[in-house]
Formats: sequence, structure tokens, C-alpha cells
Amino acid sequence: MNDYSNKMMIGAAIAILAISSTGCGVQPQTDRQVIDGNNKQITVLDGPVPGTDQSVAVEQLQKVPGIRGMDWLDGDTVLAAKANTERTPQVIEEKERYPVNLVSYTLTDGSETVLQPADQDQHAGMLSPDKRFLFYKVMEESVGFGYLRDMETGDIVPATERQTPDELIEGYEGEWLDSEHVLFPTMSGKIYTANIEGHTEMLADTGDLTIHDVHKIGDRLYYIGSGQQLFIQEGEEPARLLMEQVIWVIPSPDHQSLAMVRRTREGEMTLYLTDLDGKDKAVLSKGMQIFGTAWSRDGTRLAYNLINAENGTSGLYVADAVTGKVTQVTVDLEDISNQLQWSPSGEQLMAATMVREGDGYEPVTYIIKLRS
Amino acid sequence: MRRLPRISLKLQLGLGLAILLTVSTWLLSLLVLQGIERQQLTELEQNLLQHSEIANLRVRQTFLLGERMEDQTFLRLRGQELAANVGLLTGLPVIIYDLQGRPVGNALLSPIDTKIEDILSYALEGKIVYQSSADALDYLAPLQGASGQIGIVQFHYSLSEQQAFLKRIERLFLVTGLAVLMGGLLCGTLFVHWLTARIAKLRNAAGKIRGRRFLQEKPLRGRDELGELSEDIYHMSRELEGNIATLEEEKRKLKLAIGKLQLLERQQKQFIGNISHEFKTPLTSIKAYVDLMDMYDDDPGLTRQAHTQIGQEAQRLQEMVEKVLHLSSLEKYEFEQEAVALEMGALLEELCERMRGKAARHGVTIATSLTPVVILGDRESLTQIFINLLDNAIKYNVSGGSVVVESLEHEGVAVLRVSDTGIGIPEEAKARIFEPFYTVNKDRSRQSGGSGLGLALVKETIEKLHGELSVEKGSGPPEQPGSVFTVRLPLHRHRAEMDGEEEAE
Repeated sequence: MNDYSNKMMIGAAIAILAISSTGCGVQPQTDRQVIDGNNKQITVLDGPVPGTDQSVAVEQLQKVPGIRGMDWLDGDTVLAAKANTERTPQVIEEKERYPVNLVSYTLTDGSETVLQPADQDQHAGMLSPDKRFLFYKVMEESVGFGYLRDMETGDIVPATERQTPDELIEGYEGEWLDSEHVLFPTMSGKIYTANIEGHTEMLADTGDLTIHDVHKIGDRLYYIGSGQQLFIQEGEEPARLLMEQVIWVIPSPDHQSLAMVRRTREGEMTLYLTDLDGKDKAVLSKGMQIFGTAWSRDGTRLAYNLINAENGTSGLYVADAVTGKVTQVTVDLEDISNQLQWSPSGEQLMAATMVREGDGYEPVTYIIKLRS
Repeated sequence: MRRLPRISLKLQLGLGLAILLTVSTWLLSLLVLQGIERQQLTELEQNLLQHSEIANLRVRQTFLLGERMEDQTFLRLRGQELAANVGLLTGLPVIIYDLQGRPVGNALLSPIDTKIEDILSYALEGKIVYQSSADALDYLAPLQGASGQIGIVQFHYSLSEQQAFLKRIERLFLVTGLAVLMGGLLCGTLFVHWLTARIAKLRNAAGKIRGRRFLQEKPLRGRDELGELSEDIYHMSRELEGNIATLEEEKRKLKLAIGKLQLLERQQKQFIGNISHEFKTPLTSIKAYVDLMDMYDDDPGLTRQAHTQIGQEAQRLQEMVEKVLHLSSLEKYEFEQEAVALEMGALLEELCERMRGKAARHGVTIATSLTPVVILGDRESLTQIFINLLDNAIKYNVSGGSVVVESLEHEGVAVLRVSDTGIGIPEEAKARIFEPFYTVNKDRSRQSGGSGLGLALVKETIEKLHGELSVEKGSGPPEQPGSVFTVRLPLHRHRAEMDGEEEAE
């Protein structure tokens, strides 16, 4: 008995030695062909070849200078902001500055129509889901009052009942809840909904003057407050802190999940797919900066901008929300500063930015047509 | 039998340990280095693949943004710009080729002299291929256009950093490996020493046992197999010691027993010899008379004499038989008869009365001086003793002589004395008279009917009664001194004490 177990042990030891010395964590190198020549070795790889990934690829790239794209009216027409040279310019520091008005711009022929010519800076235009109404702000610097415009009749109603500094809305804040209601936070820390007739209702008074990224799902109100804290207010209950270090939160179109950008480390942000309570379902991407995240209308894809220390990996990305597969779409396409916008069909992406022109900045919009 | 050369345990263990340590350290470093190399290659491949993806994206982007043209023209036109761009993005020297394999863009910081003709064909077929030499690697990947491959991008990667890293690790392994090996060997040697020392202790212990110097204590202490072995060896030693001692003891007892048996055998032989001799004598006499009777059956005088003599001889024989039996029974059994308190004065008086007849026949008178004295004994034995003594006193007396019987208490013992005015006992015979069958004067004893057994028996009986028998010369004239037989026996009250002590023993 003892003899047998001894032999077993010796056999096992030899086997282990043999395996470890030959194998040792080597992937089966069946995907290559190695040819040894004089002084050099040639390796031919059989695997996938770059640039052949068909799932997400750019088919067309259009650069539209001078406009700042904000939303899609339809597959060929975009809503954009453009300096209206037909109005009276202001002279600032010996330079002429025209007011920025909202236009509808046709991509195919470049024709444009100013929606509401005025001597005011119109910004942050968002179209209602049925494209019949427009929510925009008239800006002074980076804040402004909100307005609702009937696209057909051109009638405009203010989004807030009063227009005191308390009702100022920051930049691109706010969203359409449905085809008749918008939701937005004000500088006073209050959260309002307004309907297309301009009837306003206050949903919450957070007392936090820095709230942004306000969204509503069912009777849950999400907003990000001071110090990158994500709050959630359900029904009549007081708001509670859901998570810290949250930079952006973007609910999916089907209201089942959230895309969340969190700061995970000094110099690193991570894009997560989470459930409605913020619990992680998947990690999609990591980078120095991630912003402009937008869900495609059918909720299958997420487009976002990523900036990394290594220049080659900065650019536009599209992530598949189901498989988690991430594909780089463009390389280093300037610094996209706005939220990306998917066209209604999901075939096109609009990315707007400002580029340095001379000693100032000029808007530029890229239209990216993806291979379907 | 010639013994094989001895390889000490220390050597075996030490050598084995050294070999094991060396082999494992060497194997470890080898495998780790291999692993590192493999890992480096994998990472490199992944890196370069990603770079080629970026290159592809860049080329495509540039193509799409610019005015539409044929892709080969585009490459030739913008190739340099693209190469520079990609070089910037990836941080590597880049060369871009068109579908003919001609370089269209070159972003090398310094010219490289690697010939890539051998691998160009693979890349033109749309495969990723790289060529590695000792210090550099050239990686070729296809560039894709709208409808298939439009060119090739080449990255030149310097392997010197990787090689340097490997060399550093190698050296590190060598140095630390040696250090660890030395350290390991040192510790191993110490351990081996300690272990073999313990084993040596056990060996010594075994050697001691072999030389019959049994162990006084456990040779080793410890909570492992050696400790257990030590316990077992010690245990065996004790057992062995004990067994041998027991055997020696048994041997001694056996020798003693054999000695006693041999003595007994000799005594018995002598005894039987004596008995047969003693039995022969009366039988001869009886037979003689029977023969005489046969011959002279009409002689009344002879008949009468014969009658008397035969009767006497027969009586003597019977007495002898009884005496022998008694002796034998005495040796076998202890006091079977009940010991009672006996008043010797009265007993002696009685015995003297019985013997007066015989005494008268011999012309001897018996005088007494008896005081009451009580001893513990059985009547039969005491009677035997004093009948014997009286008988001797009468037999070995002279006509007109006397026998004096005394009993008294003296210094805590009972003293019983029988004195005669007979022939006395010679000095040299005094010690021997108590031996079985010894008679001072054989003829005389026959004449008086003595068998020689009597005194032996008497002495034995007296000793069984915890008493003493002594004999001295009497106070008569030198040619007829007479003898004094003195019997000392413990008094009854003292006897009880003595019995108690005996039982305690």
C-alpha cells in the first residue's frame, strides 16, 4: 500500500513539473504562424484585422461650420444655434458680436431658417418628442429664462410664471417629460414642470443652488446636488442621498436603467450602466473625462465623448447597451462640448463643439452617419 | 558478509536538500522569465493592435471629411499627413503604404533599416504580420477603406526597453536566487544537523541496549515520530531489563530448588539405604531362628527362645515402621494434632509409671522431681518424646543404675530433664546422635533394641514445638558418666505470643 502511494506521489510530482514547465499560463497559440529566419522571426496572426468591425463604423462624416447643433427636427434637418448676422451686433472689445438665434438647418443643401429672429441670445433648444414644441432659453451669459414655442404657430409662452433671478435656468438644464411637459431646475434650487400653455408647477424645493441634471421617472425625481451627490425624491417623501461622486446621470428612454458617469479616482471617470436605484449592472468605459452621453432613441446604444491622456484613444465612442461592447467611432475629433444627439432613426449622431478661430471661438457641428 | 559503504544520513539529507533547492530555484526563475516574456509579447500585440485600430479610424475619418476621391489617390496625397498624425497619436514611428506596397507617408524620427519585403506580402493579403529581431519589432497591419483594404500601416517598435527589463529581471533572479539558495542551504543544513543529532541519540540508545547497558531515561523528547520511537525504545529497554532480571531470578530459584532436590535425593537415598539395612538385621535374625526351628523343631528350649526373639524382632520392626512413618508424616504435614495446654509434671509422672516395668526388668530405678509446668503441645508428640528419652535412658543404663526425671520452670521456659547413669556419649558423637539411624554403638543398640531413629525424631518434634534439645555429660564417674538430656519448651502463655508472631510472618 505504501509503495503504491509513493509511486503515485512521484508520478504526480513529475507530471506537475512537466506541465508547469511547458504550459504555464500560455494561451493556445493556434492563431498564428511563426517562421524563423536568419536573425529574425516572422509571426503572421490569423485573428481579426483592424478596421473590419462592421457593427459600428462611420460611413459618412460631415462637417458643418458656423452652427451649433442642438437637436434633430428630422433625419435631414437639425435645430441649431447660429449667429444671426442680420441683426444688430453688439460691439464688445472692438469686436462685433451678433446675437445667436435658433435656426432650422437642412443638412442636404445647407439652407437655414431663423425660427425667432431677435436681438437676444437663444440657446439650449430642446424639441418635444413629437417635435411640435420647442423649449429654449434666452441667455445672459450662461443662464437664462425658459420659453416654450409652438413650432407650427410660432407662439411663445414663458416657462416660468415669474421671471426673477430665482427662475433663471442654467445652460442646458431641463428635459421634456412628454409631448406637453418640460422639467427644469432653477438657480434658486427649485424644480418645476411647465406645460405647453406655460402653466408651471413646483415639484421640489431643494434649497441647493447648484442642482443640475434633473430627471423624472415615474414619481421619482433625480437630481445631482452640490458636491457631486445624486439625490432621489420619491413622491411625498423627503429627498434622500443615493450616491456620491456622480457627475452625470442620464436615464434610458425606456426608463428602466440609468447611464451614470462617476468619478472613480483622481483623474478618472467611469461610465456605468445601472438600475434605477443606482446599482451597477455594467461598466462601460473609463477615461480621464466622459461627457455628452446620449442614449439612442431605441435605447440600444449609448454615444459619448471620451478624453484620455493618450491622444489616440480620445474621441467619440458608441457603446452597445446590451452587450457592453464599446467601439471608438472617431479619433480626437476636436473637443466635443455638447451633449451628443442621435437622429430619430438612430443612424446619425450630431456632435457640436467650438473651435478656435483666430483669437476667438467658432462653432462647428459634425454629423456622423453610422453604417447600419 | 561485507557491509556496503556507509552513506551517512546527514550526507543524504544535505545532498538531497541542496539538489532540491537548486533545481526548484532554477526552475522557478526559468518559468517566471518565460512567463514574463510571454506576457510582454501578449501586451505588445494588444497594444499594437489597438494602435492599428486608431490608425484605421484616423485614416477613415480624414478620408470622409475631405473631398471625395479615389482611395489610392487619397493615400498618396495625404499619406504623409496621415503618417505624421498617426505617429503623433500613437507615439511610434509610422510608415504608411499603398496597395502596391509603396510607402506614401513616413513619420520616422530616424531612419530605420529593417527590410520588410519578406512580410509585406502577408500584409498586402490583409493579414497582420510582424517581424522581430533582437532589438526591434516591425508591425504591419492593413488599412481599411470604404470597401476593403486600401493600404498598410507599419509601426516600428523598439524592444530595447523590454530586453533591458528582462535582463534586469534575469540578473535579479540570479542574485536573489543565489542568495536564497545559500540561505536555504544554510538553514537546511542546520535543520539536517538537528534532525540527524536526534536520530544519532536514538542510535546510541539502541547500541547501549545491545551492550546490556539498559536505559535509565528516555533518550529523546519530542512530539513527533522520533519522540514516539524514543519512548518505544525506552519501553523496550525496561521490558528487556525486567525480563532478564526475572529470568535471572527464576534461574536462581531453579538452582536453589535443584540444589534442594539434589540434597533431598541424597538424603532419601541415604535414608533408604539406612532403612533397608536396619530392616535387614531383624529380618535376618528372624529368618535365622526360623531356619533353626526348621532344623531343630523338637528342641523346646530353642522353640521358646526363638518365640521370644522373633517376637522381639517383630516388635522392633513394627516400631521402626511406625517411627519411619511418623518421621515422614512429620515432614509432610505440620502440626495436625491439636495443640492443647499440657501440664508436663502430670504427664511425666504418668510416663514414668508406664516405664517402671521396663526399667525394673533392666534393673533401673526411676526417680522424679516434678513441678507443675504448662506448655502448649499435643499429648501424642510429647509422649513420644519422653518415652523415647526414657527408653534410651533405660537402655543405655547399667544394672542398678537410675534415671532421674525433672520438670521445672526456669527463666521463662519449661525445662524438662532426663538424666541417666549410663555409659554416656562420647564427645565426638554428641553432634551426630540426632541424625537419623545414627547409633553410637551399633552392637549395643541392637542389644538393647535401639533402631537409631528415636533421637532424630525426638529432636524434630521438639523443634516443631519451638523448643530445644540438648545433651550433656552426666555427673558420674569417668567410665560411667551418664547423660543428661534437657528439653526446653516455651511456656504456654509465651507460646501464644510466638504463634501470633509466626502467623504475622
